[in-house]
Amino acid sequence: MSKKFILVLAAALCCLGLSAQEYTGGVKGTVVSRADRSAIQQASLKLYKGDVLVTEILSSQDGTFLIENLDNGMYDLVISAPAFLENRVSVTVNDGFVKNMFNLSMTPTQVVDDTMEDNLLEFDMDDSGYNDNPTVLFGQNDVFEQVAAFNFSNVRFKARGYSSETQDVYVAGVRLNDAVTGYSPFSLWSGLNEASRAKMSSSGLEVSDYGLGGYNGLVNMPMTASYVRKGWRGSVLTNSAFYRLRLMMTYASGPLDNGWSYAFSVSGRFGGNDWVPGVFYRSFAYYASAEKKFGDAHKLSAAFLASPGSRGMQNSSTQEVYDLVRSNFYNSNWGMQDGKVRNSRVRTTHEPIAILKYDFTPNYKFSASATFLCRFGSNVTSAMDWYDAPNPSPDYYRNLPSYYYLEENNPYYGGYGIDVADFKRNSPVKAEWARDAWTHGDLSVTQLNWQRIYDVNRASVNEWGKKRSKYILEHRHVDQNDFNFAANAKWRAADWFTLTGGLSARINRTEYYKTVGDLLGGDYYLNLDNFADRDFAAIPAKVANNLDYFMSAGQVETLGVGDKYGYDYYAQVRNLEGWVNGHFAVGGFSANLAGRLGYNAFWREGLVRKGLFAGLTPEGDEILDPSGNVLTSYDPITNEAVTSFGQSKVSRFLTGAAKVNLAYVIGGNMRFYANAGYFSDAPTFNQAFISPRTRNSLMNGLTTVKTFSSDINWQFSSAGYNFRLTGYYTRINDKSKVMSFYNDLQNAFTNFAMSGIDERHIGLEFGFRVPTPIPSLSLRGVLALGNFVYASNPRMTMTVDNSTEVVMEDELIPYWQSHPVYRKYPDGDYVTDFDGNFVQTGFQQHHVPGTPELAASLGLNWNYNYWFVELSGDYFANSYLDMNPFYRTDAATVGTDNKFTPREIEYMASQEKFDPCFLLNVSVGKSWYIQRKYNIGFSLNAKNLLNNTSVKTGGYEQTRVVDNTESDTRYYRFPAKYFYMTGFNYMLNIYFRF
Amino acid sequence: MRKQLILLSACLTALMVSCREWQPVFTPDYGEASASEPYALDANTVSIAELKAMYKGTPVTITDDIVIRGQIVSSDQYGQNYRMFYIEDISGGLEVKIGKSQNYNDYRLGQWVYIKCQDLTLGASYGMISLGYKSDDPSYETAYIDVQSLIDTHIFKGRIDPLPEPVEITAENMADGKNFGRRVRFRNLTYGNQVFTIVYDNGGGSTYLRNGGNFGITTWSMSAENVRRHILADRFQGKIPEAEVDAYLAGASAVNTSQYFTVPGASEPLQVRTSGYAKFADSEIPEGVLKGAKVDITGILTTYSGQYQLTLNDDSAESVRIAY
Repeated sequence: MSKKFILVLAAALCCLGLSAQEYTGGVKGTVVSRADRSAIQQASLKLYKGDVLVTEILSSQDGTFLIENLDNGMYDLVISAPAFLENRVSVTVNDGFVKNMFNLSMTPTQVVDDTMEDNLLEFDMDDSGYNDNPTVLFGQNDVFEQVAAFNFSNVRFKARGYSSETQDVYVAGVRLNDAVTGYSPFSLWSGLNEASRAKMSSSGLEVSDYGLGGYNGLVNMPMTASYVRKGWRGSVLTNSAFYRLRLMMTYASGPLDNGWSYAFSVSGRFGGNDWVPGVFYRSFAYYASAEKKFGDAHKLSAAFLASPGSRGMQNSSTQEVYDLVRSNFYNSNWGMQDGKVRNSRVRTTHEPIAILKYDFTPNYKFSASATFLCRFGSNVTSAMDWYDAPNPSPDYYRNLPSYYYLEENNPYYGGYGIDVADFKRNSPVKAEWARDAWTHGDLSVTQLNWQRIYDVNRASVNEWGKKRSKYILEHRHVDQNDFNFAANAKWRAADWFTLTGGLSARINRTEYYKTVGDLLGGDYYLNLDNFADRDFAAIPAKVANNLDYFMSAGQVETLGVGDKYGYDYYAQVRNLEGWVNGHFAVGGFSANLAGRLGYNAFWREGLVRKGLFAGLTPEGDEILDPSGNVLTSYDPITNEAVTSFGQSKVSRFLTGAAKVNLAYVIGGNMRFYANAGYFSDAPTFNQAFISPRTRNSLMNGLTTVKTFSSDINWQFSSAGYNFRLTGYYTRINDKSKVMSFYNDLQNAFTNFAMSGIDERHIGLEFGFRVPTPIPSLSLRGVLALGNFVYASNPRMTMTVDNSTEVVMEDELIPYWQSHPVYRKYPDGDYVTDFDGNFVQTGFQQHHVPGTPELAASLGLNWNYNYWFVELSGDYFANSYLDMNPFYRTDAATVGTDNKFTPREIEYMASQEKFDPCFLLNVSVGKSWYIQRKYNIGFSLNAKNLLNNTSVKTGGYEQTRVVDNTESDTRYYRFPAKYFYMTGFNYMLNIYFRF
Repeated sequence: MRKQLILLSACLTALMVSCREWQPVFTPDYGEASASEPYALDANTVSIAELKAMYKGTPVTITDDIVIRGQIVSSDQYGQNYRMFYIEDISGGLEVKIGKSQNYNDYRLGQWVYIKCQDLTLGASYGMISLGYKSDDPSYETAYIDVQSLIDTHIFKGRIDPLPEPVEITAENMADGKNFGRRVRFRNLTYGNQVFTIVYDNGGGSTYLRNGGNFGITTWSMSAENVRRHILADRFQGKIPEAEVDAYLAGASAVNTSQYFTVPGASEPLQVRTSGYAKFADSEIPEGVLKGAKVDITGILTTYSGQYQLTLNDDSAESVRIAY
């Protein structure tokens, strides 16, 4: 090219440039993260004048941007970036100047750091009776929640003492809490950390863009391609508390020029752990998502994900067993089979989720979305089942030394003033034999004896030479078919007013049934009710689990592997809900006023007719067995025939809620805010039926759960100083609960239906983070101090499980909320007044179990040059054991002599309080950038450095009583069962991204 | 870069070191447990009669390393023989107080068992010798063996063979103590129309039903429900005062019952004693037998204070057969 041409070209371009510079105004600034002031590159900036899009650019590598050639006037700048909440600011360009916005902060959606991986690990194990959500799901909103999220999960901390089903978990805008139980199904996407990493959460009573929520926060995980961090991400992880190895690989394209984006992720988790024998993982996860943008306003997303796999489960046991084996991590579920560890309790699941979502964003003032989501698949848990054979559990109480002899001050059946001689356990020599087997690790005694089980089955040969199994592995199926629709919209009607709202609908049909999993050396099993066989041997039809089969074949079904047996029913649930929220913002003041109305219906649909609860013929007549015995039984309270086949009555509830959030921001750094809400929620299916495995009978007097909740808060954030202080009060009324257990006083399985359970939760939360004189070193701490107590004595109805007999009807449980405390002499005898009455000195309040009421943490955090190191100490106290309602009844406390004594009341009704504990943790990590493109790093967390293995995280009181006593005047409790937190454990995660 | 690679390698090494338990927890299919070998021992074996001869009227704990060997001839499958079983060899029979319920699952009819008797105790209850463990309760000479590790170290399971033929008992050999604890057959018995049982009220009181016919009880025994039916029907032929009916209904429980049978040529009757918890407790004695037809009954012969008792394993035709 000649020099002349270049000069001409340059001149022409200069002219063009001059002619383009008709306007000299502009906007510039730097897009940064609110969390740590780090630059956000590739953030999208759209400048509008009115409704017209003027220009659209991306921020540069260092987060800076410059928009030039703007006329004077008022503009709206809309900033968006993946993993951040969209931000919009008003800009006024005057006098042709380029307006400097300085830092434009964007709030991260709750991105979970790699350092918090282990919180997610823990909640893969929902086998231990817990259905918690990882606290990290709800972290990140402020300094209190950031710290509580990471540090408190290992003690199963529940914020404000609320049960985990009160947390709302949404996926792609759809509420996915289990339709039958209310629990969050976190395990459905465990192993898909990258796909579920982006979260939008609101805490406590705050209203969300996706739903009104409850009083315990709401988290929404979009799980569509555009929310997955762009590029390749892989990690290799090992840890000592859950599984040996996790491999994970994810790829996300990010938004492409053609409007498409897609993402894939696969992972696998394998192996056991250092602490609990018999527990293992063999789990996988897969995820695929694609999105297409149609213009600027329309987007269609689809995702498909699942976490199929198996894992061996853990069981709780009594302290006596833990002491015998000298480990608080004994697991009774496993035994040796030909040299291999075999766990009888294995959960195998494959429950995919399919998502189809449409987003409509015509302008920055309005957005709407609609989601179809369905969840289906199988969830199977294996367990031992047996017929007319001894209980195979190795830690069954009759296998323990305490069954033969109790020392004077034994701690297992202990309690003040207990006379051990009353137990009639007088053989110390036999106790020594039992103890010897346990302490010397005789696995045929201390663990499940698979060899004996096979031997018994193989020897059980019938007259035709076939082996009838006495022990089998049953498979308990919970197969969900869950269809959801949710639509949400947000309209910024004015600068000071935004309206959000939505509609949702749910159809859920969950099938509960059992199949024969393994005949364990036998040829067949019989489909009959073990307990009915004991009580109704003279009427064989009553013993049949499938009466229709029995009537046609003249005998009970013979079962092979895979055959259904026992029970088979649908839980049918229907939900419909609409909500609306008005958000007002004037100056520093903002408010939300929100309401929700809903309709909830559920019923049981039995698929087999049980011999014990035959119901009526289609013509309404009683059902007779071949011998003419009437099989139809009647509810003594309602006088209606008790049915097991067909549909139960439909329970319908109108539900509603109202919330108000008020906030005032001073100077951009300080915020005062207060929230209040009232909720009327339907009971869940699993707490409504007396015995859903056997019959259609509902609890009497089912009603909605009413909750009033409020909190008041102060928050400050500036120059590295962060504080938050909160006081809260919540009252929950009319909860219900059903449980089934073996009742020694009835010598039968009984059902316990409780209603009218009230709770009160009050407390304080304080969190802070402050810099220290040492550069890059900050101090942070939290304190959660609560008081979660029962506020009523519920009423209960006790029924025998294999008949319609009502043992107790609508009776008060007098010692549920508290029990009286009486004055004692120094020698332990109780003081009486001149009339011979015992002198009561007060009450001992009973607490809501499952979480420490006091949780505190103090830590040092150092961040420099992509290194992070954190050292923290945590203290937990005031945790209580889950109570058995039966111990708090008059029947249990007065004993066989029907006489009230303070010793019996205090012994039976008192609630165990766990010892406080202190934990020390350290985390360290570093990441490197290689050739400016590849990011590789590691994080190493070591928890419980002091190896404290005595931290009880939960448990429950057994429901049995010792009723065979020397004095024949009273009962004694069985020892409680506990779960313990693991000792020292580590997690090493090596990750790479490019 | 080199430092980073070294650190990464160290991390990966640490990762690999921690990888264990790939087997067995990794295996989805465990297959079946291999078969157990039946126990067999010939050393130090004494006969059951020789062992029983060691009992001299007071409980004796065996100190010698001796073994007895016998076949299981009883079963608790139908609710009889609670927490015990009987074994026999050619010399006699023996009650073994194993202490486990539903023990028929582990100790099958016809199965040979070997019992190392050292540290076990011989005792007697109302004349019936049993082998158990030392008792801490002065009311009983022997206690149940009970503890699994005690059982595992003293009682060993051999092969399963067909049941031996029942010993034929007549008036002549009825009193021979070596047959107590053995499976025997009485032939040509006739129904004695006598029972012995005790029913209880809910206040600690009781009524003995004996020496007065069968009080309308024509079943082998009575479950709680059966007791209630009798009370409501005729109060055991009026034996229970009408004023006490409610108390006895409230206290009704399963009761052990003896049905008396006449042994040809014997002065003492035979009591067929059945637990109220037996699955056939409420089964009717065959009508023909009640009307006087002769019957052959097979069961375990025991003694109680000089009386002869027979415990049925079940009410099948093998146990109760009308004699033709």
